[in-house]
Amino acid sequence: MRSELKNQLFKRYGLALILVFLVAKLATYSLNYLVPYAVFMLTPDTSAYEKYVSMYEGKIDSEKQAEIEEIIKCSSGAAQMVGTANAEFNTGNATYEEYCLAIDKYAPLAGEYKNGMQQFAEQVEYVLEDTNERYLLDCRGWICLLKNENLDFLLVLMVIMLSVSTFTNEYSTDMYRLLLTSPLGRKKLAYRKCLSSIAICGLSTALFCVVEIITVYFKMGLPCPNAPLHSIEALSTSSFNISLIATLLILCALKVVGAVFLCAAVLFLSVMIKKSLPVISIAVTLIMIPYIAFPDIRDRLFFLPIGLIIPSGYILGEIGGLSATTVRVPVGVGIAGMILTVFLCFITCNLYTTENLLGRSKCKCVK
Amino acid sequence: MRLIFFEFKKMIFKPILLVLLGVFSIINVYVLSVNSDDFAPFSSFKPAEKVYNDVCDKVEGKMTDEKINYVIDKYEETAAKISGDFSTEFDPSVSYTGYLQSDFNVFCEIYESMKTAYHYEDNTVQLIEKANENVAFFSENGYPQQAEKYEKMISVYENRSIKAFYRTDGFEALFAHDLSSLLIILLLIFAISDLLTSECELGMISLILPSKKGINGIIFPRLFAAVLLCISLVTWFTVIDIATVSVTNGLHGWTNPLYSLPSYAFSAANYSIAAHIVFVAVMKIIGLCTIAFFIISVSAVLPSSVMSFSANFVTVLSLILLNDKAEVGGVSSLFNPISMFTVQDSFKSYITTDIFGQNMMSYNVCLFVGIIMCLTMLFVYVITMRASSAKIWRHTK
Repeated sequence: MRSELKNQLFKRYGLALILVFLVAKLATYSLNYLVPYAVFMLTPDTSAYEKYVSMYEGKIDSEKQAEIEEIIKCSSGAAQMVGTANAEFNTGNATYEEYCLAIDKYAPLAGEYKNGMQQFAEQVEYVLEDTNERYLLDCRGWICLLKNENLDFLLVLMVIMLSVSTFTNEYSTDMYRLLLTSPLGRKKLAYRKCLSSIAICGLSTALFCVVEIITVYFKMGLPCPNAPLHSIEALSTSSFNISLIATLLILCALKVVGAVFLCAAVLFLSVMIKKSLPVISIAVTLIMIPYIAFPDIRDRLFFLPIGLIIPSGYILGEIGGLSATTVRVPVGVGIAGMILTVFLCFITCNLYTTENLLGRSKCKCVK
Repeated sequence: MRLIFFEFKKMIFKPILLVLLGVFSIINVYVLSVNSDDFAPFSSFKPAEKVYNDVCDKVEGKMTDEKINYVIDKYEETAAKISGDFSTEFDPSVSYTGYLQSDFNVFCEIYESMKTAYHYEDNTVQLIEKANENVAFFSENGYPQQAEKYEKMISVYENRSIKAFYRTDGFEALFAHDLSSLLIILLLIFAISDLLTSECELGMISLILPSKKGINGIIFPRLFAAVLLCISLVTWFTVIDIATVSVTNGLHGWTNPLYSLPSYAFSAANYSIAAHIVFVAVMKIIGLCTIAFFIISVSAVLPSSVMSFSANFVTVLSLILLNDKAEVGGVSSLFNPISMFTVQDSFKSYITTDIFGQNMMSYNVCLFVGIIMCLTMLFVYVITMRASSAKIWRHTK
């Protein structure tokens, strides 16, 4: 097993591939993977939002509520006063001195209104509807991770590239027949190849998730990990009663299962076709083209690896018409993905060793 | 020449590529035909669509008083029928489409389009007057650069008029479609990503290098074959796009100016729609050649086909993402070969790029930078091929 891992990581440049994709992911993260509405598009300066959210972070009690309401009232009042002062001065009802006096007094507070205070007020309003189930927190980072419905093309490509050469390399260099005569046994050899490929893809996907989380943590912050999921308005359609961190872990686990499932499918394809170029072409076409050309069918792809790689729909209960009311649905989908992976590995190994899906041996001829 | 065709055949005549070419063509036709339906007026109500098409066939061409009067009369007639209380029941005996409201909608659509085309000249004159005011203002207040910008704008918009009326939905749908560009790039990656790596992996390179033509026998035929492949792919998909829209919506008014299309009304280009199609195809070929030279250079450097595929996919994907976020006509978009595929955006309005204090039309700059990038990649390609084959040759010896 160790030699197979070494072979895939070093001899077949698996490690170099992972590094290339990780660098690309880091370089393009802010371009594609940040969810647009998690970043307040029309509010470039969000200093007021950050200031007050961090000040009153967590569960809201009556004391906090009163303070927050007072702050919001002052800020909106100040913005109104500045507006009135401007109007009065423009119509000639106020002197320049009066105008300056009003501006000096209200401008700092009114400025806050432009710097994210409005978003803060909206979020407070949402949290106050149910203070037991909703915490006040800076939700931008969490939205990026939990409501990201973009397909991670780099992850998909990495999994395809990592798994494609596992078997095709043996066919193209004619090592295949030689390997089948090894004392280890043909099936064992095939299983080891599958397992090592799956392990590498699973681990590299987990690494991708970690990189994603770290990037978001440093870029936007991930406060109150134990807050309920419903603290975030964008995720209010979900019927799960779990914490943010638990949701994140479930999504990461589903992503890993999706990647492993995709890896098994590519391995099966590579044993069927035996050449790298067709396998890469077919895999990339089957994943990318439906996603880009037919956006309407995205939510119907929940049973394919692509559905598991974009798992946020399972949490929001929006995939394939499944009304995900309990954690059992994503867990069930994950288990189904794993079973399909095992099945694909099984028939891949059969095909590799006996050139028959069910493993009915024609071994005498092969030998 | 024989070597060029041999290399070209090697690139494209792989069973999987031919299958993909077929599949991609079908997908492209399907997506374009579905999307072009959104551009066609009244596509959801067939009787209205038929009346619209019949009337358009009648009034299309040079705008004459007779045609204009016909449209105005019909517009006023249908407008009069729906003023006050009118029947909303289906009755084909008193209406063209079966419904009075639909009749009005059809003639209103044609009337508004014709009105826009007829008054285009007057609107442009007004625009030029405003621009002249700006020139005077900026000249007086010491902003010669801004004044020059508006002077150029005047020279672009001067003497514009639309003499002929045609329905525009076909060309609008054609120019809005960009899936074919992505498919072309994907096919190119599949075709040439393993061009050199596969030969190195199989050891064929050590047979080719000692041959009579040596390294030049690889570099130049492959270069021309890659260019030929780019031209073929762009031509194939352009023809498919045109054929599809011709069938679904119809393409009318090839010789009409580009600014006769509503979304290109403020375009800086003063040529015909047909010329624009050729210009866009040439831009795509240049962009595709740049990417092709890059891909072959990468395949000459990297040790395995999978690495080469990965590097090319990652680079192209990153360039697409960068281009998506870049400002149209901005410096970051100019130096991105993908911008050659999305050049339509810079035609939609008067977009200039500041080059050393000179205001230049952004699509011209894009073309110029594209050619320079293509030549640079060509140079990189030749250098990389020479270096890598010298390395292999030394290693073989």
